[in-house]
Amino acid sequence: MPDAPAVKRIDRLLIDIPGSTADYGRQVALLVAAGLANAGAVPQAGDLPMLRVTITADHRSDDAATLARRIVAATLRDLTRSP
Amino acid sequence: MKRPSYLQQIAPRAPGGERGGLAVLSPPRQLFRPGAATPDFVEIEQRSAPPAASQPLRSRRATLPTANPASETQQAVSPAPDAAGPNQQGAPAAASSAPAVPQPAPANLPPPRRQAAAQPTPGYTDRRDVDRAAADRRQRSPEPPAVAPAPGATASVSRAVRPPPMPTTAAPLRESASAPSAAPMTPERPTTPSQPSSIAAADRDTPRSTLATLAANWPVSLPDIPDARVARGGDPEPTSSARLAPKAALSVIAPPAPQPRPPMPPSARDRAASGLHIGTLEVRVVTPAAPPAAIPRAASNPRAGRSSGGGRIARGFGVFGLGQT
Repeated sequence: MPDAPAVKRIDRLLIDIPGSTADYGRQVALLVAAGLANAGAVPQAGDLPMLRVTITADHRSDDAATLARRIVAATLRDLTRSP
Repeated sequence: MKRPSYLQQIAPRAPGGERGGLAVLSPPRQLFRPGAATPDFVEIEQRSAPPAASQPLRSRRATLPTANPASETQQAVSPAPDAAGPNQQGAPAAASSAPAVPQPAPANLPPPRRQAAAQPTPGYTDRRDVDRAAADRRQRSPEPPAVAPAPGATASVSRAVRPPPMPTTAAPLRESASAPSAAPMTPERPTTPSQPSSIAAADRDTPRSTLATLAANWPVSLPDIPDARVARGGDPEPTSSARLAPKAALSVIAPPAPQPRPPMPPSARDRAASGLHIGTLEVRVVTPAAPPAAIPRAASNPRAGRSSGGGRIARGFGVFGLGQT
């Protein structure tokens, strides 16, 4: 039986998608939060006051789910690299 | 035989008869004949003779307002000024004879004031009676007399009040165990070891009556004043406790202790220890940059080719347009 998932807390989430609407950005943000909550490769403990993730994507060609997956993957990469 | 004249029959041996008719007409001198009640007054006067009995009457009258028991006895014996007049005499013979004698009174004759020792009429209020009542009031009341006593009397009183000098170590014990009036009157003048206790006691006794009067007339209630208990003769307290009383009251008035702080939220480290905490996650999505546009090659210009001779235009010509000519 797996252990209880570690608590993950994000105080503030900023997503800057140029050329997109607020609804699209809100949708992407919810998908990113859900993706981080379900991710298993997140460090069990840590305190990061600020984490910046920059991805290159074409929001006009990618849908929200695809964009969200790319954002979660990039965040996990940065979390693993951060001390 | 010749009969003497009428005048000579009246006063045959008058003292001034040889000077004429006027001297003969003057009535003969009458010697003082004391009345029946005069010896009684003389006896009373002899019994209550004050030490200043040899002083003249005016000087003794001047000392009457003082609160002196001897003066009271003298007032009872001495007549009233108005009653001493000849018009109110009880014995007309003595009144008509004594004041009329111009020569100084002989030693065997009583002074005129003794003859006027009659009791005043009932309902008569003399000024001396008022003074006597005031003196009685002053003797009963603890307040100092309005008239300053004689210097000798003051010295004797002060000597009687001042206790003998005591050792300095006994002063606090005496204050704590003695009468309530032994407490110091002024808290700003504590009994220091350098001050002799006799001086402190004298200072305490001297202004007590004045402070008692002030405390009685003070608009503020006595319990409000810490040192007023001394004036009222209450519990004697040492000076240090009297000074600490306002401080104790201040401690009561002091604001209550600060309320306990609300429970602090767990710190970030505690939260991080239990999981992952990210303060701010900032995601920036960058659209892929447009592929760099190919530098359009300059169209082959036959004229330019000719000028360059190699078919390609030199770089400077294209920019500055020098090859257009």
